[in-house]
Amino acid sequence: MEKGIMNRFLRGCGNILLGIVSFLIPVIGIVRIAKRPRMGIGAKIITSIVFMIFWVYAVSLIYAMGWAFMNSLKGNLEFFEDMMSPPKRWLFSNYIKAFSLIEFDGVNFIAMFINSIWFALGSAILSTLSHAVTGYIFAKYNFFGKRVFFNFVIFTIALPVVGTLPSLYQIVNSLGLNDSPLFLITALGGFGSNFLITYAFFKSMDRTYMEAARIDGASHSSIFWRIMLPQAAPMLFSIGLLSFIGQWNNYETPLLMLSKMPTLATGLYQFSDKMIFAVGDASQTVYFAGILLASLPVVLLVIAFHEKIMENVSTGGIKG
Amino acid sequence: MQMKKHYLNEKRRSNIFVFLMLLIPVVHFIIFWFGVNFNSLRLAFTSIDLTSGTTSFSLDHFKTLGNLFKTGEIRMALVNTLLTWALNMFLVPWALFLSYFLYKKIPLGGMWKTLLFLPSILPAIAMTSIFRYMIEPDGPVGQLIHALTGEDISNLLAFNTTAKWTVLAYIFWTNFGGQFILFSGAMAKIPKGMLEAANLDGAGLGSEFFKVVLPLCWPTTSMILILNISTLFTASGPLLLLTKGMGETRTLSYWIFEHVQGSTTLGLPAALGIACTLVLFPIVMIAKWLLNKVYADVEF
Repeated sequence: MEKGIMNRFLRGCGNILLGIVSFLIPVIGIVRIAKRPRMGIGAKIITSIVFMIFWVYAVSLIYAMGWAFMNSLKGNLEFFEDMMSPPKRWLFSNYIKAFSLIEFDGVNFIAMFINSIWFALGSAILSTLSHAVTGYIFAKYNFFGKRVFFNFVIFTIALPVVGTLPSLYQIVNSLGLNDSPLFLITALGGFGSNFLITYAFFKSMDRTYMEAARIDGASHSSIFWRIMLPQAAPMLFSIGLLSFIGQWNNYETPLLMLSKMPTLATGLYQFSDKMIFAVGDASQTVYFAGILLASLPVVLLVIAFHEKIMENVSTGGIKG
Repeated sequence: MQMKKHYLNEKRRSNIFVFLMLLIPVVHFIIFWFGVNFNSLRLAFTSIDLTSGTTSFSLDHFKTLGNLFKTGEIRMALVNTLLTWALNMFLVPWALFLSYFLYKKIPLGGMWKTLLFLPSILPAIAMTSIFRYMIEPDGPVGQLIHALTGEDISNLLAFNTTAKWTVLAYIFWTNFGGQFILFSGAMAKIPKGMLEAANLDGAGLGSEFFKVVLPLCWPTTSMILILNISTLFTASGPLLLLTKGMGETRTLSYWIFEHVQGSTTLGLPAALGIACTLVLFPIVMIAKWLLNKVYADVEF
């Protein structure tokens, strides 16, 4: 009985707080817009409408995340009885359970996490390095056939090729790269769209550093690894970070090519499929805990580096 | 003589370095670009005699595609793809519009930017799972609709009448800000003096946007539009996670994915890919030519 009163009290407090925040934010925003000098009344009205659009969108996202978090702390039965109320008991243990209960074909959550790490990190590092190499060589060296190859690469980047998945799938299988960390070989291509970014970056770099280092007796590889690459580090880090996030969230490629080594994205998908028919402990609420845990690394990365991402991603890609 | 020898040694070293550095990327390019595309052609134009196991040149896959178009399977996927693509195209000017207000320092701009960026970094498996439960009859959206209309909603992703539009609603929700980062980057480069001069000349919000901001951001806008046009036949939502293609939601790219996952006939999806590429290539080229004509390139 006491728990019921407490729960209603918490729910009431939550609603009041939500009401105040929901009311205050648009009011403060619109007042600030109204006070802007050198702005016509029409412009103020349009800006206020856009502000409200942002606010409604923000509420929908924050509510969705909060709702998922709230339900990740419930028991399964409680979730199906009432999806809207706060948990009667805050079952943070669901987050511990996620590590043991979420599994597919004998691969548990931790193994999926490890698969996600090597797949996303390995792909990001290899792809970024390959693009750094190709961009640098094409920007700073002259060699036979360079112009023709360069133009051809640009053509392939611009060419809208559709549906190469069947062919890629067959080639990956025939090379024995599927269901193996060797699949990372496919990330070694240095002529994707990031080539344009690394090429433009190295092209804009002064040759003086290279020439001074050559006079001092540095080898070509020392110049690349010790002088040029460190200068490109911020730009490469941004490319790598976005690539890591993309691969962490990628579910289609690992589902086809790494079916026996599920990453978090594919493992959780397969677990959710299985969960529909599951009984007992494999609950929806533990699944919610699992998807929030899987989101945590990318959210933390973006929190830590969002300034860098926002600053570095500009027209045509990423600047240094 | 000594100088010439030194030059030759230097040239040789440089060539060896270039060779070693490009070796892996070039081999990769040969296998995973030439090889993959050549193999696509081979799969599309080859049929296998199941009794003898021999392969021969054939247009059978293209004929099958034609039949599937007539029966409606491919046509439905094409319509869904075009609908998704149209929504993506709408989201480009929409993102430009939103970016303009972020650029004009709308209150809480930092928070809006973070929230617009959030759906693009969160795993699709998380976003789709949350979305699926939220639109259930007992979920928040179901409850909201019930409160507003008194009607109970059914499972929106399960029925042909609603599934397609629900998927589009999901795409709209998660791509709301779309390419705002690229637009924000382009707008940040606009010299403040230009806008101040326009304001002194009495330009309002509309004139400033259409006569100053849009022309200066046109290279970015046209680039994004061209990139979107090149996805004309690949536009799709995360159908595997939302509907698995049920409820008449299949798109062309999901149709290809399904066939690859089933690993039954790789030639058929490869043929679809070839056909789409052949149609798309001139469309992209014409679009590029037209978009380059809208505004002259501006240096600033």
